[in-house]
Amino acid sequence: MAQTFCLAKFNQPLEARAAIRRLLQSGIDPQTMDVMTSQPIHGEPFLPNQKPTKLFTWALCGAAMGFIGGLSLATFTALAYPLVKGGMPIVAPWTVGIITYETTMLGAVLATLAGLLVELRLPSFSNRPYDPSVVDGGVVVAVPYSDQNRQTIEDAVNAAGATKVNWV
Amino acid sequence: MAAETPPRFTEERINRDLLGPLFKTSGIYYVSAGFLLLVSMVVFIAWGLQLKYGIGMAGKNRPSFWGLYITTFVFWIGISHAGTLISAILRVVQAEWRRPITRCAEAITTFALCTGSLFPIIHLGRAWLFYWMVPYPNSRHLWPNFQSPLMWDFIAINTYLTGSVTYLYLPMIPDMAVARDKATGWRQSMYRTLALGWRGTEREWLRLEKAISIMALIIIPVAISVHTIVSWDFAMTVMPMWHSTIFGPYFVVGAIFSGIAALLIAMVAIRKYFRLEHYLLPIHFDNLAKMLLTMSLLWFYFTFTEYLVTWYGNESGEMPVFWSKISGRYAPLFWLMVFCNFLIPFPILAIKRLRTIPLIFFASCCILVGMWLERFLIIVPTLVHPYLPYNYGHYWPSYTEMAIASGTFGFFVLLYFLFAKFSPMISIWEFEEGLQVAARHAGEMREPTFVGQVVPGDVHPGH
Repeated sequence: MAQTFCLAKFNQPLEARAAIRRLLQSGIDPQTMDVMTSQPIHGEPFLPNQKPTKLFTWALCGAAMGFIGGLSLATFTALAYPLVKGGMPIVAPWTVGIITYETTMLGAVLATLAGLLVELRLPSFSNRPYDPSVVDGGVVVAVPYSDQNRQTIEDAVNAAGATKVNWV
Repeated sequence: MAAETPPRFTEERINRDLLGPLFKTSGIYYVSAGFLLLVSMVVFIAWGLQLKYGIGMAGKNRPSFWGLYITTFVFWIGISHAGTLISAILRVVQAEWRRPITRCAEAITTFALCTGSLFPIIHLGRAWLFYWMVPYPNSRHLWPNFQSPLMWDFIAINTYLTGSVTYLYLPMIPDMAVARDKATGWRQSMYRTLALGWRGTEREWLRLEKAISIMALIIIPVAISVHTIVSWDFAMTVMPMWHSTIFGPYFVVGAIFSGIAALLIAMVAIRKYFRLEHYLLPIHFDNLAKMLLTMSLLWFYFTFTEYLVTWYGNESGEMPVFWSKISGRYAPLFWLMVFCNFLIPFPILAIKRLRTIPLIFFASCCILVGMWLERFLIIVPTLVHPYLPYNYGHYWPSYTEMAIASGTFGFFVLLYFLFAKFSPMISIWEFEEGLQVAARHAGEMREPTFVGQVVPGDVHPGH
């Protein structure tokens, strides 16, 4: 059975934080909740215990793979066809270094992009809880509900000042 | 005269102002786009004729095998340094005033690279053999020569193009989601695909901002390396006035110089055409004009150094090239370059009273002319005066070269025009975030609030 969600919209982040506090106190698991905004909100996170991002690790790994790939490409192709060009050694460190540098950066770029898409599980065109009115401002808190806790959730978001509550 | 009341920015207003051009198209737009398409067609028709009748249509001959194609190639690669460097550097140093200009700048980078990248293929003559530059196992017993600066160009420009497209697209994702939620019909399907299912959750924002920060840190050294490598197409040869260690930084400085000028021109056009006077403020033009002034001084310093060292060395192979530029056949172009790059822009950019948007626009146009001339004067005088005097020659561009080189300006503007129809030219979420940051710095609140609710109208990102 598909999960049902309560989408509560608040005008201000303060109100959304108050609602989240009440919801957490009533036993809702923060990992099941989502907070949506039209811009990144600085300051304390809305939801506790957020998993940190590993994007920097992705970038470093991509750079490492690019380094190895570029070094191998420039080195082994030169060794495969050992022609003396311009009096330089068959494997010239400077020239191999330039190719390796560029492929290192390319690896970092592609890995950062891949890491972002993997961590965010995008692209995703399935029906996930979303309120399009969030693009015009405000904070939308998405909470999964069941018949048992629907009233508790409704009381919590209304008490915090929700301007709109949708049950999807 | 009473001061104009600054607007009160709300999310609805920002969305309406910045998304309006995507959903409404004026007659002027269609006429302009049609004209630009015609100009762009000149490139492809001329190229088509060149492919049919051979590279001889380009008219190049001994000793000048490079001419307008390479000049314009280096010019466009230089222009591409605007966006990424300005956007990335300002992002890294957290200069808040960057917010309304980053999208314009990043788009310039991507489309200038696309335009410039045409030239190595055009210049190849037998363009259908371009794939020989790709290193894959083949039965031709050929490998790309990785010791050639031209191969470094291929790798570097492709890396930069990949990075620039990524750096342009990542910050666009949330704006594509806004467009998705406001659009109807086929546009909604298009934006739904481009938004990738973005919802604006806390998790998504955290990771997106991290990815953009990482990209900014990566793209800066890539941008510097790209134009350094382009300069090595010349500096790695042993030609008079080319084999110089100063070429790397000289080209990078020139690239940033021309890039900022191009960005200013684009900003003036976008501000006027899309009526974004409340978003692209005089302070943005003023700040960029000061950067342009710095680059003008740097450019002058590098140029002066280059010519002084050549003159002082009095090396027999280099002096014919030197004098051809200072007082010979290419002197009018040389001194026009100095006028356009320094003598005209310097007073305009240095004197506060003259640093107005119209004069900044004029100075930027002069700089673009000057920088194109600079590339021409680096390439052609050297080629027509090689070390052995028996090989001296002349160069005059053919009609095919002129058509293709000039047509790429229309092609670039067309790409930019089409992009402006499909993406907001100011990043919506970054602008809103900037208002939030500005309000916090103004000490209005400890907790961020939303625009238009508490933020007074005179708070603007970048002030």
